[in-house]
Amino acid sequence: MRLSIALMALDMPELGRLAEKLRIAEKLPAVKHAAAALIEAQYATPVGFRRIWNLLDEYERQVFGVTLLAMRSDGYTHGVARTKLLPLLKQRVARGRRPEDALERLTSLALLAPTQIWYLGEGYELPETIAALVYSAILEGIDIFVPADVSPVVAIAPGRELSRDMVRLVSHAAKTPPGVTKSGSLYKREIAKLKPLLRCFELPGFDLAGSWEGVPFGVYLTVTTLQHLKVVGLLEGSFELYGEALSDLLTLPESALRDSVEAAVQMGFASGNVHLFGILRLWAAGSEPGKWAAVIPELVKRYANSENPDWLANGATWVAVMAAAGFLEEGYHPEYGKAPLCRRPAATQGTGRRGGRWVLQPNFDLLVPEDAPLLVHFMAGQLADLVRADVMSVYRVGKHAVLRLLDRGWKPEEIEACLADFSATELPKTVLRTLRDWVREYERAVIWDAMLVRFQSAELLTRFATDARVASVIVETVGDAAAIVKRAGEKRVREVLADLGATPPEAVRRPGEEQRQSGGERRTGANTKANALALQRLTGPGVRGLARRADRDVQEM
Amino acid sequence: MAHADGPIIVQMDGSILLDVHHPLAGEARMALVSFAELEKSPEHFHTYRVTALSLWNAAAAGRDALRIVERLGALSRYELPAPIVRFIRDTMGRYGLLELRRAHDGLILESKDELLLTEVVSHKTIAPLVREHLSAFAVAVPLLSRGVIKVALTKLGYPIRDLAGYTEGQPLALQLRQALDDGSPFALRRYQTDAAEAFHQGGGLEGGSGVLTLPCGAGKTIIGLRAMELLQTSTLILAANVTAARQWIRECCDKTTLTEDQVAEYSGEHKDSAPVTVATYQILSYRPKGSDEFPHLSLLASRNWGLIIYDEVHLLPAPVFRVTAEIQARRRLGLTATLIREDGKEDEVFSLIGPRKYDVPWKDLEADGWIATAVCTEVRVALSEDERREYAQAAQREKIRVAAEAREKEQAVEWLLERHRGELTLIIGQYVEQLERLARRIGAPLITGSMRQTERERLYADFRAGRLLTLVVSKVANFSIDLPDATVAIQVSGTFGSRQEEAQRLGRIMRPKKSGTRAFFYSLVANETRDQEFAHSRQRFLTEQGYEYQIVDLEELETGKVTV
Repeated sequence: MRLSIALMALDMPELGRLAEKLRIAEKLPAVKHAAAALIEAQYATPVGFRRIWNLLDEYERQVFGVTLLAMRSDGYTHGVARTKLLPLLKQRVARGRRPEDALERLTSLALLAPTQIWYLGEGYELPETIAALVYSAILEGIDIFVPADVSPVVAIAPGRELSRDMVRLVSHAAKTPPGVTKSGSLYKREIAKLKPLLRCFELPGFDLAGSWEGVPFGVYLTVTTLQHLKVVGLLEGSFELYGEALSDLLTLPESALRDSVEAAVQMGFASGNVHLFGILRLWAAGSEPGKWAAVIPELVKRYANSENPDWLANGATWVAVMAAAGFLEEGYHPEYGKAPLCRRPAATQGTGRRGGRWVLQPNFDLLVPEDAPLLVHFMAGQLADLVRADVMSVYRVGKHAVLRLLDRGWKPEEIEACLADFSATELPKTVLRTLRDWVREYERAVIWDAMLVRFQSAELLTRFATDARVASVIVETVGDAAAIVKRAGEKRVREVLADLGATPPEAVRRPGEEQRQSGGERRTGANTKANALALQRLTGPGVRGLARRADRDVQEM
Repeated sequence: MAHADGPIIVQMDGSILLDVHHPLAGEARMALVSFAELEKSPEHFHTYRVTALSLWNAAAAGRDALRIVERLGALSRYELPAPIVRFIRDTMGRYGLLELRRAHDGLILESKDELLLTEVVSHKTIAPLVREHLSAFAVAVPLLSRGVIKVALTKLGYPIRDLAGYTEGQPLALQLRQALDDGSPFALRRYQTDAAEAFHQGGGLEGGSGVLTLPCGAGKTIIGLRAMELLQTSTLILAANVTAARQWIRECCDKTTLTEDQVAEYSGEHKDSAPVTVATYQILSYRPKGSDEFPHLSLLASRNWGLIIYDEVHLLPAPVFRVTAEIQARRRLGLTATLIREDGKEDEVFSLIGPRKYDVPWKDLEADGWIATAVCTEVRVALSEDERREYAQAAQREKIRVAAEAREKEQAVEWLLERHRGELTLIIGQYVEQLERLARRIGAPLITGSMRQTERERLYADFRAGRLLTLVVSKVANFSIDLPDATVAIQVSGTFGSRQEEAQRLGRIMRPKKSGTRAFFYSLVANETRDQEFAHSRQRFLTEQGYEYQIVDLEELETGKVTV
């Protein structure tokens, strides 16, 4: 709800009092909607908001804080029902005064707006226009830094980067797309294959329900974030990679990438205690890196009267997910019990000695540092097979990976050049020699996709082969009773055979002893031509040009 | 606290990557070897790993978990993963929570932690061994269960501090000589003295049992002799095979004041016993058909041994392990180039022989000139037309043989012998038929498993003395043969059976050279065959061991396009 609507719910005398506090009473128009617009313009500024906020006494601020933190999203409004709120206030806020009076005053100051909550009746919302100012005021009211000794803080697995997990997953999916269920989740059998790709695989205590039930939270987070970024689609049983969006993502500067991924992660928090999440986000954006803070514990202390409020778990979830995505680090301190502490990661992860490059070792291990650009991670996934994702991810350059690149149009010299382009060290000569050995094997024997037509007699073959309509379709004749024809010419072959009185069976037969070819080369599901082209470019040798450009941008930053 | 440019990267799986080009790499390596195992050492990043055993070894050597974490943090490029920090603290914290001491008529298992003691003594592997509960903090256990308890508690994750002491063996006076028979001076190298002292620890209860890991060619035998000198007691030496056993006997007589009648061989051929007896694993683990008994294991109890030396401890067979569990009151010294056992029983070596007491990276010894610098070269040969046809038509197993026996390999051997004319060269292979053909062609003697031991010894002696420049050997020469001046090894066939085998074959030429020249290890590989697949595994393994590796075609060598 906008502030203007909340203001329109007030009567003219109330608006007049607000205008007076905002020191614009003399300019206040007589018409209500014009008066509301003028007040909104002034109210929504830091100075104007402060003038209103300062009118509140401690009791009213506490009532406001509890109300704000109790607000939940129901898909339509972010609010709290009065019937639910009043018992809460009576339980949590200091006795001696009536919370109803405080709510009335907060409403008259337009800090709360009356609303209707589905099935629960009357309730309150926070006018969105002033949300950021309110969050800021709430944060100012608590002492958020761990005051004394931080040594007892137990940090939980810091330093993960969701964006790197995402790229490892898409690089893998570009080679072998994971199987997707009809309800838009991943098949359980895919989970084990994805495990080595993700540094954040499981998040203890996060059990998913519905179609994602049984899928580790890290997998869910990675896939849904990719979905929010429109890089991936899980539609009708197929894993679709959208090349254009992927291309954009891979070439984003690091800061824009973090913003983008963070915004996508936040989309998972569109419901729940949205104002709590808003307060936490605002804190996270402005906090000092590397310094532990007790935001949630202090909010609990300030607004929950020492009891565990129902929103505490949601706040802990937010911290855990943000930590899993690499935007925060999570920790615990004995003084604060179960409520998590958090901090922004200290900026120790620069590009370091290796300048974000990979290192190809003589034993075929390709080591990729986590702080390497996204495109480097993506290309590593194309050039080699991932062994383990970690601060320094380990890939192994192998024959299959190299032959797969040749299949995608890479030339041997392009593979070597690509390895060299992003290498921090000189490429080992023995590895190059072995690469050339593998390449030499390629195309010594080639499997062609064609059709074999068998004839009952040599005479029938002769008549078929001399028909001008199939001259361009026949590849060659084999012996005196068979011909190899192009698959694309099947229709014409059938026409000619029918004309020769030899209409073939509808079904194309397969040699009985051979298995149907499995879906190894299944389409990656790009659903538009542009997407297909972009994906082709990313997985083909053209990626080098893109990478060089992106790398130049990174180096120039 | 991590800093952006540290030399190491600690990963979540417990592996630690060391950037060897970093200015602080040397310092970091020194720190890492004390509590982590070196897994791979290819050109740019070496991989170490912290495991429960590596940490217990560190704890046994008196290292402190907090200092280790601090040191890791100071050297680390990134923040240390919290679970690894926890793992180090918890694991090292468990070492020595339980102690074993000697009592009047048995042993006492004790702990300051009452609950821990209650927990372990109620475990099904320990409960039957408890004779009496002496107090909330101590239980009595039988003397003979010392080894069993140590193994069981290590498996439970609570390695014991064994302070039960040793039985003093029969005294034996011996000294290391100052000069050898040929008049040349003999002295221990610094690291050999340090290693022996790390084992002995001034004769205290903390010393007297443990494993020393040093690379092939570093002179582990000499360290064993020094340990004998420190203890002045009768010694049983267990060696990998007869050749190695005789090498020990030779070294005892050459380098110490022991006389020939004081040193005996206990093997398939001789069953003698003396104050210093050298036996083979083979004879100890021999049992007649249909028998459950190992008749020769009684050797371990036949004398009042004051020291038992387990050479190539990574090869220690299961029956010897079992008896070792019963002779825990004897001082035990394990010698090996690697703690990695193909059967994964590293924890039993830790429990029954003792923790690792000394380790020196081979790169350090190479830098100091104590072991030779080896260059590994894969020489590619082509199959002839006939061989290609035979290869194509052969069954899967047969293909390996056809590729391994490619005729062009013989030509390659001749070329390499010419290239290394005058140098002591070993030619190693798997297929006897091929080796016989080769031996005939180059006119060199061949040693196989079927050759009598005395004849083998004679040939080795001729080779050592330089009377023979080339020797063709089957896999009998894989282990413990001291051929000090061999500078060239040519591997004509082999299926990359195990990491150990490969390391041991290379180890044959790692002894430091009098001339200071480098050692050359050639593997001959038939192009585009299964041979090449084995070669790929070998390439990965050897580069992971840190050796310089190159691949060349025979044709390139012959035409002078490349040189080695």
